[in-house]
Amino acid sequence: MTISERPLRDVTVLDLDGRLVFGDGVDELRAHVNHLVEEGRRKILLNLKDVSYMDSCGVGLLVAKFVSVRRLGGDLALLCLSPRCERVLTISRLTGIFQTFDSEADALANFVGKAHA
Amino acid sequence: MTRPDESARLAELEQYHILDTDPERAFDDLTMLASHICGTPMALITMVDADRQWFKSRIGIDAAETPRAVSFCAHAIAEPHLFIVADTRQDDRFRDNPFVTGEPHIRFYAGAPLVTPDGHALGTLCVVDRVTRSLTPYQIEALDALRRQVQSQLELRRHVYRLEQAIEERDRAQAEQSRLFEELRSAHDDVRRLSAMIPFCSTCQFTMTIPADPSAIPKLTDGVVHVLEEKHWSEADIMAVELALQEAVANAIRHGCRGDATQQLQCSVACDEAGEIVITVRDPGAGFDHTTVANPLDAENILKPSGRGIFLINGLMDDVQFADGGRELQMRKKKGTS
Repeated sequence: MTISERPLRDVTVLDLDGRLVFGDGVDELRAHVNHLVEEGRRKILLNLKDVSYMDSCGVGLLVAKFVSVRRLGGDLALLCLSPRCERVLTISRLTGIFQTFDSEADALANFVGKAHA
Repeated sequence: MTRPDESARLAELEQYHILDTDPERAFDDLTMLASHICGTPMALITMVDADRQWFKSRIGIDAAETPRAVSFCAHAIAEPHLFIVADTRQDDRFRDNPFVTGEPHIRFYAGAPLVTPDGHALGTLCVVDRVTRSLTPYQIEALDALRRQVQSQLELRRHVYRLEQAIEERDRAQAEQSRLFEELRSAHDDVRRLSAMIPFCSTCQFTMTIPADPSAIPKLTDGVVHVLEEKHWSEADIMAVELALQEAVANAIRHGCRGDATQQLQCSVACDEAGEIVITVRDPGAGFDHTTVANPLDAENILKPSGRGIFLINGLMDDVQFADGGRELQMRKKKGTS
């Protein structure tokens, strides 16, 4: 898993590339998001376009970070779900929990008005 | 008339494995001494079998055995001590015996019973003459000493036989152990060879053992994906099986092996021509009660970070069963069901 960070206005976008599964990618993404939160960044957009594979462990991490960022008054959204990731979220009945977007512009609009950067 | 313990006596005689064996110097020396000391032309070491008396050693007699019915020794073994017939013609039991009326015209017989430690008389050391006579106390004492020597030889023979049997048994056991070890080693090599072949394997069945380490999971899932691609399963079906296997193995590592990478998991995969794959994942852990696993869709669980593995497996596969207290998971899926 490689993680590239870039700002998009007041949102931090993480472009993820690789697998998000038990033992591969999950620990790296958790550490990266935790670091962002410690720095005070509360608007996080995870770009999953190049995440080829996600399991329940990856799903669990997304849920955990979504909950923790929301509790801090921020938001975490998902961008460009690959079919495989979408299927896992669908089976897990989590598509209604996460806000998911197909374009950065739509995602950005969603973050407008959030209290934190 | 057969004595009450005759069958036991015959069984014990069998244990000495002496009947119908070749002459042996140790026994022949003792019959020779008996013949010389007692001054008789004939001396024998006899074994009284069910229907015959057989001669382990003989001096002055050509026959190797005679019928028990006309045997002097059959009478001698019924006696506790030396059995002497001074004049056979004066004894009702032997007067009409063919060996008395005919060759070798036995007139005198003295037989010392050969008694085992269990108290069974197997036969005799006997001296025989063609003339009536008696034995001096010195000769009787010497014959008794020789009898003890014959008994010692018999016991020695039995111990050697038992020792040989024990050694043979040990050799057989060692050979069997070596054979089993070789089979085990060969089977282990086969498993390792199959594991190495998985990426290229288009056949239907294999079992592999992997360390309880997440980095080992792709080797397994890639192998299964390759098998299913060879069988032209759809991408959706393959993705379902791959993810279910990922979940099953991840659960086995995290819960069954508690993350201890020194432990091992076993995975068996069978894919038949009818288009069904059966995967079994087994871990060495303490097991668990799968019926107590919480539903991750319940409101209190939906935002929990874990607890979705088994739920996903159930959603992806057609049939999921747990066995051996939760240590073994078996899951099935038919082609075209995703």
